[in-house]
Amino acid sequence: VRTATVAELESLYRARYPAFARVAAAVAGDDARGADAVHDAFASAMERLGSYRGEAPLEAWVWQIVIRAAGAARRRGVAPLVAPDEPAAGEDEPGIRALVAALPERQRLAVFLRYFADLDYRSIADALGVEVGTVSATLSAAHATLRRNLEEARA
Amino acid sequence: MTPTEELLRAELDRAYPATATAPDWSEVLRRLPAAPARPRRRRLGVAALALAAAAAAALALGAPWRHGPTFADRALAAIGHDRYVVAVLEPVQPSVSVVDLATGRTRPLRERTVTIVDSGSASSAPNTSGWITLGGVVTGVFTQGNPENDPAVASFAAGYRKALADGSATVAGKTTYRGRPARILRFSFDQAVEVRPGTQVLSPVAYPHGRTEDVAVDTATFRPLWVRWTDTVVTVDGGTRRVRRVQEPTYRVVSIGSRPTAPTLPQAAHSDEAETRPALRQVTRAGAARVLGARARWLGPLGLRSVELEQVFSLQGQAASGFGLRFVYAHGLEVRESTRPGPYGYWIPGLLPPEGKALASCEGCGPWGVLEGKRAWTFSLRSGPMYVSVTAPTRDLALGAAQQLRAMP
Repeated sequence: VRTATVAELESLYRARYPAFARVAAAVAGDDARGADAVHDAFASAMERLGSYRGEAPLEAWVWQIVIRAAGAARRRGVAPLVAPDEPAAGEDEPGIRALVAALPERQRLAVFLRYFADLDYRSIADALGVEVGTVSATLSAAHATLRRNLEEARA
Repeated sequence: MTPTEELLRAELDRAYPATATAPDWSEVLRRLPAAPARPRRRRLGVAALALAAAAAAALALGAPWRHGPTFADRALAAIGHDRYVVAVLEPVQPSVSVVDLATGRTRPLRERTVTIVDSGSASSAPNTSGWITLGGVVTGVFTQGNPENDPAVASFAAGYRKALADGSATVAGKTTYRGRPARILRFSFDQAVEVRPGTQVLSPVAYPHGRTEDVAVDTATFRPLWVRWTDTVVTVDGGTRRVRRVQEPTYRVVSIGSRPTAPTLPQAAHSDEAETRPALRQVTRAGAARVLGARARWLGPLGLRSVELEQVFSLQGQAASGFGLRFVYAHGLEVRESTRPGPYGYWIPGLLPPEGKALASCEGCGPWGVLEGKRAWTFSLRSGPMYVSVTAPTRDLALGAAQQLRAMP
């Protein structure tokens, strides 16, 4: 059983804060809620550090907590999933946010972790608690859906 | 990356710009709930209660993440884990103040010690450096082994984080400081201070639990609020040994935290430190008036026992650098003066207040006074061309004398 220390947690926070904050903001709906979610998640991780058993890297374990906290922040707030670049009246092209929001949740999270946190498939799998093959299939499906919808929207 | 991925990344970057918030670890700490209070066991006897409390404290502080972070873990996290620990401490009761001689009004001078501990140094003892300020003036810069370093303050900065990490701290009680609830963490050290009367030497000696260091830690932020040491002092006088407990002044923890790089040490203010040798000879009143090249200051002839001429030596190189006068009066009152500040006035010229005000300090008023056996108040001031110090056993006597100084006829 591998344990972790607060020092490792703090190092992870300092090293990867921009990625955590960006993913959390995307999930929660805005930057402030995202930052709140990251800080809540790290506080929660400190509280529960004793339950970390080292089955996956510490970062993957923290990602799970951050994603849950960001999801909870979104549900608590009224932030719509498609706020800033949702097409205004008269615009034909839907915003990429609207397309991402329309994805199934696992696909959406996989996209955020891949593009905002630059995680490889193995790390995304650890963070989402799925197999690597599932990540590959999930991202593939997300890419296909987004490409199709973008092309349709621009056609 | 495939063309699809590149396109998608560009679209996502446009739609979800990178967040502008900066990392702030204190935000994480702020969200930690206070550690839950432990229920009281009213039926236990006092001894059993003490044992149970000690065991609970040891568990609470020492358990390595078995049940989540303990109070000590959180206190440790509040400092951070970077290489250099920087602690800023100031005594709650300042020991030096500026006194307006006309009104007697007193303004304490802020004293601060900044200690930097390099936790990554290869030697067994951590490398310690820092500086001391008085009234905003840097009066000393120290590196390891330099006697200017207050060993208690330095040991706090070096030992606090280590004690939290190795579980050697125990919860000793609760307190409130400036309205903030706090827990008192206690560290014990197996050493005492041995004093042999007649010497200035304080030797550390082995003594079980002889020294304790109490740190009040804010229960909300987990940051230390104050630190206080209690020493066991063994006085050895001939064949007689006496053991006393001496509580040091309380120091407020202005800040303590870690950072990846060490702060730059400042430049110490110019020092004119000097000392004197015992009286060269007695001088007459008439001779004393002008022996220093300027008219001397005194309190008049009443109660005057003697006037002595002293040789002043610079501390750098022990070179004779001038003369001073010592007026000895009744009731333990003395007036000493020179045409330069070093020997009798304060030796940091930048600290000397303007004429009409004095720097007041007391030797032996603190907890160690009981060992030193005497108490002496010193008022250092300028009077015309003279730098004068007035010393008396009480503050009122010293202040009254400082107010009555005048030029000799």
